Amino acid sequence: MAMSEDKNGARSAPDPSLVQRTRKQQENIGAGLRHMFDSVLDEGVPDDFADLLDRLEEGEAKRGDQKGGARE
Amino acid sequence: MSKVDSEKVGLSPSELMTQPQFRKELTDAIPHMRAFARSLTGDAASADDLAQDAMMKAWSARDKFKAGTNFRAWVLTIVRNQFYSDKRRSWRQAEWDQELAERTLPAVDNQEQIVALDELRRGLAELPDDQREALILVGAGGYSYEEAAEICDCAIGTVKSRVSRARLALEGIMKAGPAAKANSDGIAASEAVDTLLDQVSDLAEQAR
Repeated sequence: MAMSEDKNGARSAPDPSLVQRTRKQQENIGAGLRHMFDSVLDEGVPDDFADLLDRLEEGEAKRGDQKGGARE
Repeated sequence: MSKVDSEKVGLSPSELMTQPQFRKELTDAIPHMRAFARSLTGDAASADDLAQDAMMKAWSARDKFKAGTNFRAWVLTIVRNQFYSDKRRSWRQAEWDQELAERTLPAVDNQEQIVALDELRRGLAELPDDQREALILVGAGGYSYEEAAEICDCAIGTVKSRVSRARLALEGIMKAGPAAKANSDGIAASEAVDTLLDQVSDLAEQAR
């Protein structure tokens, strides 16, 4: 990973133990971020999402009847 | 005009999905829309409002989606655009709502892990928008750089550099944060953060 992102930052050669610690911290941050995201994926979708899709379909069926609109 | 609107219009019938196909794709994408929205807004209720608004937008823009292209990226683009347009209407300020955050944290029983996750969320909220979205997609959601670039409407190289800047910035924010300071009686703040981040890592491993 690029360590020298900042334009004015000519970093001196980093201390190896510091590099290792940073890597470990980055791994941990990554694990935490994935956990946050995955916990939402795993929690199941509330019913009102399916209800919304039903309403959208019904609304469209009504409009389609009025306009003779092309479905499909 | 949003990116979705600027997609090629006037698709031929063979490029259009049928309504049942579209509903199926959208249903499959809901968990991702919710997870992306949750990471962007930082709280569950606004995130679900956002995801549902985006579903309505996607539904009405159905004839602009070209069958066979990346549905998930298309629909997450809509979530993203909706998030920023809501944000411009100041529906959600960048302020960190501690109480709200605590209510929407995933259930964990270890107090230190709660603190660690809370810190991560606080840090995420402090990142600039472009870095936050890139890090969420690539670092949290596991999306490819290509997909993230499509969703964020920028070049792949731009996503890469935003992700790497976001990672470093997040680490810096956590090092300077209240939890690091509170834990640092007698030990260096960076060590306190190491401990904190180890907790996050343990938590993620337990969840596997």
